[in-house]
Amino acid sequence: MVGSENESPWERLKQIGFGTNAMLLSILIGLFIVAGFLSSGFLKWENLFNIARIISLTGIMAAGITFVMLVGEIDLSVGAIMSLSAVVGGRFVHLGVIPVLLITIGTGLVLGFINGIGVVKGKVPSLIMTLATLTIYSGLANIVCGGKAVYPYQLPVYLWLGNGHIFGVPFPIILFGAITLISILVLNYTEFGKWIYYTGANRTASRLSGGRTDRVIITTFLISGVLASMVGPMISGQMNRIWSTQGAGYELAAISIAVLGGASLTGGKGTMTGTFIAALIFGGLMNILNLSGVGTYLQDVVKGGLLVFVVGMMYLREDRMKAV
Amino acid sequence: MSFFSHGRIIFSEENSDEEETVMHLIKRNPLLIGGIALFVFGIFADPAFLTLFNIQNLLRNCSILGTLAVGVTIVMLIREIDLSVGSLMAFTIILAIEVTSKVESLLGVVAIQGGHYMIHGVGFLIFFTLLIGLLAGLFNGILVTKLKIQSLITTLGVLYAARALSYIISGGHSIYLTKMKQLHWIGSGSLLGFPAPLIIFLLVGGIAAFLLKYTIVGRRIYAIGGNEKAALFAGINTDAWKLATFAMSGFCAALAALMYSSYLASADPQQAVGYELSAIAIVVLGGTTLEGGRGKVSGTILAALVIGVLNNILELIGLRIWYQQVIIGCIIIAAVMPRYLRPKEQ
Repeated sequence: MVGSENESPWERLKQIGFGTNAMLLSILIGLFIVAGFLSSGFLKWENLFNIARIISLTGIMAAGITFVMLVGEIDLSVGAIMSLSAVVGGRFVHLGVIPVLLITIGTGLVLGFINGIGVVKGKVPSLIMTLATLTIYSGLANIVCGGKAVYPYQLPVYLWLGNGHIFGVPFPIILFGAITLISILVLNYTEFGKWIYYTGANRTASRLSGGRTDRVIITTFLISGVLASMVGPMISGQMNRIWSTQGAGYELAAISIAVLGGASLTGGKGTMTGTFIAALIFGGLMNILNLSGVGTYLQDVVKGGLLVFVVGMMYLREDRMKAV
Repeated sequence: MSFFSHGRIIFSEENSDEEETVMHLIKRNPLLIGGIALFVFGIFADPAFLTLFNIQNLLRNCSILGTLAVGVTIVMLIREIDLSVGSLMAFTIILAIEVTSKVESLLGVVAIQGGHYMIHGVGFLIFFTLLIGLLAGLFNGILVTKLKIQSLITTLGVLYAARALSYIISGGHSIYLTKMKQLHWIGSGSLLGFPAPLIIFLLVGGIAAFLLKYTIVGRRIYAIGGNEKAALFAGINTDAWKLATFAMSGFCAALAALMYSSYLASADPQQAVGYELSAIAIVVLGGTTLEGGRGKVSGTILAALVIGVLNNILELIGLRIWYQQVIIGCIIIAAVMPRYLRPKEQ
C-alpha cells in the first residue's frame, strides 16, 4: 500500500540516467519528427520562429513561476501583474520609451514584493495570497486606465519589442533565451541558486543551516513579478496597444509549462532547462494543432489532457507518497 | 515542508464552555460580526438595501456561488483542491442538454426547437446534469487517487478540458431555456418568500454540515485531511473517501449550474468563467484552511452570505466591479492573515 515495493517504470528509467529533461527532450524531438511528416509547413524557418516567438511570452512567465515553485510556493498573479504593470507604464507614454519600460518593470517588482511579503511575513499560503492579489491587481489595472486602451504609436522602440528582430531572430525569442540562460547560471552556479533548492527541499533544515529562507522566498516572488512585467510590453508591441486585460489567463498556461518542465508543487525539484524545453513542446503542440486545422477549443482539451498525462507519468507512486 | 506540514488530526472543534464575553464573541466569530456590521452599514448607506426585492436578489445571487463553495469546502477539508468547478458549471448543463435531446429524439420527441430553444425534457435535463456532475467529480477523483496526480494539476487540466468541451459540444452557441417554464422555479422561483436557490443552498449546506459533524463521513474526512498517512495506517480507505469528496464537489457544481442556467434561462459555454476562484475565496474566508482537516461548512455558508451582502452594497453605492475586485481581494488577505499569524494553539 505504501508503494515502495512496486517500482514504477519511470523510476527504473531514472536509475539508468534518463531524467526529466531527457524525457522532455525526446518528447520534443518526437513531436518535431511527427509534425514534419504531418505537415509540410511545420519545419519551415518562418513557422519555427513563429512558434518560438509566441511561446517565448508565456515561457518567460513560466521561468518566473519556476523560481517560485522551486521554493515550494506558487504564483497565480503573474497574468495580473503583467496587465497592471503594462497599464501603469502606459500612463507615462509621453515621457519616452526608457521611463515607460522602467516604470513597467518597477511596478512588476513592487507587485512581486507585495506577494512575497504577504507570503513570508503575513504567513498567508501563497495559493491564497496570489489568488487574492490576482483579483486585486486585475481590478487595479482597470482602475488605472479606466478600462480604456492606450496606443503607444509615438514609441517605435516600444512597438519594436513585440515585432522587432535582431539578426533575423525575433526579439522575444532572444529575450527568452537570455533569461533561460541567466536563470540556469543563477540556479546552478550561485549561492542564491543553492539556497533556492535547499529552501524548496526542506525549509526548516535550510533555515537551521543558516539559510535566510524569508529573503530567498521574497526574492523568487520579485523575480516572478519582474519577468511577468517584462512580457507586457512585448504583447502590447505586437498588438499596438496596452490594455487592462492583456495578461488574463496567462497564469494557467505558464503554470502548465513550469509543471510540464518538471517543477514540483512541493518545491525543491525542477530545472530551468526543463521549463525551456516544456515551453517549446507546448508551443510546438499548439502549432501542430493549428496547422492540422483543429479548432481552438479542441486545443484546450489537448492542453489539459497533456498536462494531466505528463504530470501523471512524472508523479507516479513514489513521489506522491513522499509528498504526503 | 511547505505549508502542507502542520497537519494533525482534529476530531472535534475546540471546547466551547468558556465564558462568552462580547470581546470573546467578536474574536471567535469575526465573520459573523463583520457580516452584521456590514448589514447595518448597508441599511444606512442606501434605502434600497433593505427592500424585500433587493434582499431576495442578494440571497439568490450568493446561493449559486455558495453551493459551489460547499462542494469545494468538502474537497479542501480532505486536503485537496478543486479548480474545475467553474468549468463544470458550463460543461454539466451543456452535455446534459445534448444527452437529453438525444434521449428525447429516441423517444420520438423534439427537445430542441429552432436550433437554440429547448422545449422538452425538464426531468431528464435535471437528472443528467446532476449525474454528469457526479461523474465528472468522480473522474477528477480517479485521476487524483489512482494516477496519483496532485489535485491542483488534475483539476487545472480538467478546467481547460471541460470548458473547451462545452464549447465543442454546444458549437459555441447558447441554448435558450426560456420556453421551459417548469425549470425556472429552480433559479427564480420562491417558496413563502424565500428564493428557491437559497432553499437549495441551505439544504445542501445543511446536509453537508450534518454529515461532517455527526456521521462517520465527517470523522473520516477530517481524519484524512488532518493526517493522511496516519489515517491510512489506521485502516481508512483514503482513496475511496477522496473519490467521494470529489464526486460531492462535482455534484454541487452541477446543482449550481442548474440554478444559474435556470435563473438566466440559458446555458452558455462561457458561463461561470472564474467562479472557481470566487468559490475558493469564500471557502477560505469561511475558515477552511488549505492544510486540510480544519474548517466547517457553516463557515462557508456564512462567508457566502457575507460576500453576497458586500457585493450587493458595493453595487448599490455605485462602485464599479473593478473596485469590488480590489476590496474583496483585500478582505480575503485581511481575513486569512491573522489566522496564520496567531501563535499555534496547544
